[in-house]
Amino acid sequence: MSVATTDLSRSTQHLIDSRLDTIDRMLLWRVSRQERLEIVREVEAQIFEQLHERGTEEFSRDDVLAVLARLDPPEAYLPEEEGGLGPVPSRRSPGPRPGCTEPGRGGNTRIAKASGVLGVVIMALTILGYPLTYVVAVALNSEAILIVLGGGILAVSLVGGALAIVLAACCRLANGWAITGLVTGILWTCMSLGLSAFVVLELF
Amino acid sequence: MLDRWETQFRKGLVELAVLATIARGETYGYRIVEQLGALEGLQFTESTVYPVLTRLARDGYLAIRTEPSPAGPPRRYYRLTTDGQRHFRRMAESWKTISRSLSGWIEGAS
Repeated sequence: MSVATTDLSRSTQHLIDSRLDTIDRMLLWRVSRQERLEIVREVEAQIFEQLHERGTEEFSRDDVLAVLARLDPPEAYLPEEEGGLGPVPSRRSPGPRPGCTEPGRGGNTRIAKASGVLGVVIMALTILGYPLTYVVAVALNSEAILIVLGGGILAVSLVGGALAIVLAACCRLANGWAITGLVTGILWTCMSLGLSAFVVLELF
Repeated sequence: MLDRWETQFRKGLVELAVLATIARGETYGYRIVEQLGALEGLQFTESTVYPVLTRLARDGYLAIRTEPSPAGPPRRYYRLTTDGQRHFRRMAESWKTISRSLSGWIEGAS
């Protein structure tokens, strides 16, 4: 990561590289690769400027630690809702991540919430839907209702569960909502697949 | 609550503050952070300034020139492009109008 030429021992250079790598990771998927590299280069240049200001020829580990302590923590590069001040939103999007649209500032939170809400709704639909379907089918003595409604709930929970998983992955498990979406998505997708397999085996 | 408002308010001003700093003359990243960090009430730091700098450069408002530094990696000097100057003037005008109106309004209320 580092391009510096100043005299530094391997261990002190490692301290700097480690900080720069952490900042790089904080910015990952939030800004384009080009911008990420430029931000990290600026931080690296600042570290060496501040080391230079200390006025010594060779920099000790303590010098480097003192300079790093003066910098913003890497979390400061996160958007505010994820614990930092975060970069200001971009007018032009930095290009989509394969398979997902690149979330802007706040986009992650919205996607995570969508994933969580979808997971919970699918869970509620499945838990309440099957008994209700059964009750209605028995009350009306209709096997067709059981097949149509049950099949419908099965299809919706399969698609919804898979969608909740995809959304949770897209926002990289940004918060509790996304984790809820992932867990409920996996749970109900697996349950729906199992139920589908059971029905198919029973019918054929 | 007030802290949050202040944070949001300051964040909205970073771009204008960065442009105003560069409008004073070509300068490099760390110098901008130093200057904006010293302004009372603003105190912007690198995690706020550098992302804005790179975005402004990407949007064509800043031109970059690289020069060797006495302190390690090359310095990236920023200056306003013609688009950048126009953008800065528009933002500055807008800020002056808003600031004047709101100041008068607040004065009348207190």
